[in-house]
Amino acid sequence: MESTSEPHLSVRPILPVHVVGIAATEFVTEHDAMLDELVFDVVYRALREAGLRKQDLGLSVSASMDVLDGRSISSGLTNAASGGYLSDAFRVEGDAGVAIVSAAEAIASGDVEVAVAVGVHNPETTGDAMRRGRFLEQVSNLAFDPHFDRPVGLTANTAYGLHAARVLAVSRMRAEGFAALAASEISRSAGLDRSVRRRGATAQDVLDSVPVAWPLHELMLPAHSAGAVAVVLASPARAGRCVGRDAKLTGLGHSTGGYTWTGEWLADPGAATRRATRAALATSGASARDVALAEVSAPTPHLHQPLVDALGIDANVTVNPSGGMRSNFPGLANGGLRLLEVVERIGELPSGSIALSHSLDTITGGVAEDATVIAVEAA
Amino acid sequence: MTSPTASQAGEAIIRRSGSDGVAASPSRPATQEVNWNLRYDIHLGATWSRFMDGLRQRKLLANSCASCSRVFVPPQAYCESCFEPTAEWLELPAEGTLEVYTVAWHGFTGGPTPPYAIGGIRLDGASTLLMHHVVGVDFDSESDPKDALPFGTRVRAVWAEERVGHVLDISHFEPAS
Repeated sequence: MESTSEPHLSVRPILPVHVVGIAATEFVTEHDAMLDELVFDVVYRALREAGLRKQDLGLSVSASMDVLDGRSISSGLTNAASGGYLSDAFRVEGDAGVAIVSAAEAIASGDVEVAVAVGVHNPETTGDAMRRGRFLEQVSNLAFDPHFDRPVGLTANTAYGLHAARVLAVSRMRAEGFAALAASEISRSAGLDRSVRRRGATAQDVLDSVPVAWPLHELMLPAHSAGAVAVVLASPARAGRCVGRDAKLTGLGHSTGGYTWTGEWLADPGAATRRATRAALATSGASARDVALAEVSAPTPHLHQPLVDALGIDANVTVNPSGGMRSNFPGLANGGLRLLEVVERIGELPSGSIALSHSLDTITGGVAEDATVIAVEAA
Repeated sequence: MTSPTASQAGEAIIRRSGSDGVAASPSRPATQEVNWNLRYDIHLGATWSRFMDGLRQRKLLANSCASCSRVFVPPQAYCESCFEPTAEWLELPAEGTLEVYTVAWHGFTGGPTPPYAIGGIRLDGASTLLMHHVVGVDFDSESDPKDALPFGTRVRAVWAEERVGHVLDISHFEPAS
C-alpha cells in the first residue's frame, strides 16, 4: 500500500563538502581484530592521506550496531579510535551512509571544518559462512518488532524473499532474467581487488546456488564481508590546504521507509530511495540528467530496477561498475564502500556530470529502510 | 559500556574459530564466547493490549484513521502517514487474501524450524498486511511453490487451542476452501 501523500521536501542548496581522505580495510569473511583496531586503522590512514591529524577533527561520526558488536554502547570502544577522544563524537546505529551524511551536514552548516565518518562491520561471531549467516539472520530477526513479526520468523532474507516472490508474480521478467542480472554483476567484478566473489558466474550457476528464501538463491544475495571504511571530509576552505582526494559531496539525501504492515516495501520498495534522491539532487542543484555514474545498493536483483528508477537515472548511466552488493557487502560499512567506489571513478566522468552513491540499512531487509543518496562531483 | 556481559563473569571461554574442542590453528581468530541473556517484558501499550485480548477470544480487532479511512491490522495508536490519532475500532473476519509468501529454507537460532512459509495476508476489510505462517505450501525446492498455493488464495486463521494473548494465538493461516 502506498503512502497517502508525498512528503513535503524542504531543502536548499548546500556548500560542497570535500572528500579529502578515504581508507578501507581489507574485506574478508571475518577480521581477527577488535572493532577499535579496525576503526583506528582506517581513520588513521584516511587522516594521513589528507595530511591531517586527530587534533584537526571537529567531529567523528561512527556507524555500527551494538547487537552485532556484542557490546552495549559499542561506541564506547570505538569513539577514541575514530578520533573522538576529548572531542565531539557520536554513533549512528545504522549504515555508514547515514554517518557520512551526518558528518557532511555538520561541515555544510559551518559547525566544523573537518569531520570523519567511519563504518565498521565485523559481526562478533566466528566460523564458516553458514554459522555466520545464521547469526546474522538471528540478529535480523531481533530487529523486527517482538510482538508480531519476530515470532513468525521474519528476517532480512525472508523479507527480501517476499519482495522477490511478489516481483516474479507481477513482472514479465522471469527467474532466469534476475539470475542473469546477478551473474553479470558477479562476473563483472570477479577480477576486482575489493570483490569477495572472485569467480565469475553464469545465470545457471546463480539458479543452482543454495536456495535461501524462495525465490532467492545465495548468489542473488549480497556478498557478505567484514571490514571498515573511513571518510575524512572538509570544508572548501580547509580542503584547499589538504592533500588527498579530488572529490566533493554536493548533495545529501536521507529517508526512512515504512514498517511491514504498510506493504510499501513490497509494492514500492524505492520509496525511501526516491525521497533521498530528491533531497540529494535538490541540495546539489543538479538534476537526474546530470548523473553519469551510480553505485546502487540493490540487495537482490529483483530490487535493482525499482531502485534505479527511484534514483531517476536512465539507461545511459553507468551503474555498479564495482559489481555492487553482489560483489562486496560489508554490512554497516556499505555506505562507505559505495562512496569509495564512486570517488575512485569520479575523475573518469565527463566534465559537469555527477555521480550518485546510494546505500541502505539492511538489518530488516526492505522493511523500515534507511536510505541515503549522496551526489558527488569531481573537485 | 564496552564490557562484555559474560554468562558468568570470569567463565568466558576462549575459542578458536569454529573449533568446539578442535585444536587451535594459528590462522584462526581467537575469540571468547560471551552470552547476553536478558529477559525483557516488553510493554504492549493500550492499542496492542486490546488486540491481543481480542486474539484470546478468537477476535481480530482493527482500528482506522478518521482522516484517510485506512483500516489497520495490527492496529495502530496513530496513523503514521496522516499523523493523526486513530479512532474507531472494528472486528474483522478471520479470513482474507494471501497476497504473497516466501519459503525460508534455512533457520536461525531461536527461530522456527525450516522450511517454513511466511505470508503477507490482507484480512477482509483491512488496508494493511498481517505477516504470519501459512500452510499448504509444497516444500519441494525443485518446483514452483505457487503451483500448490497461488498468490491470491483465500485463507483463514487457524486458532491455537490455548490462547494467551499473543500473535501465535493464530497458529497459522490455511487455504479457506
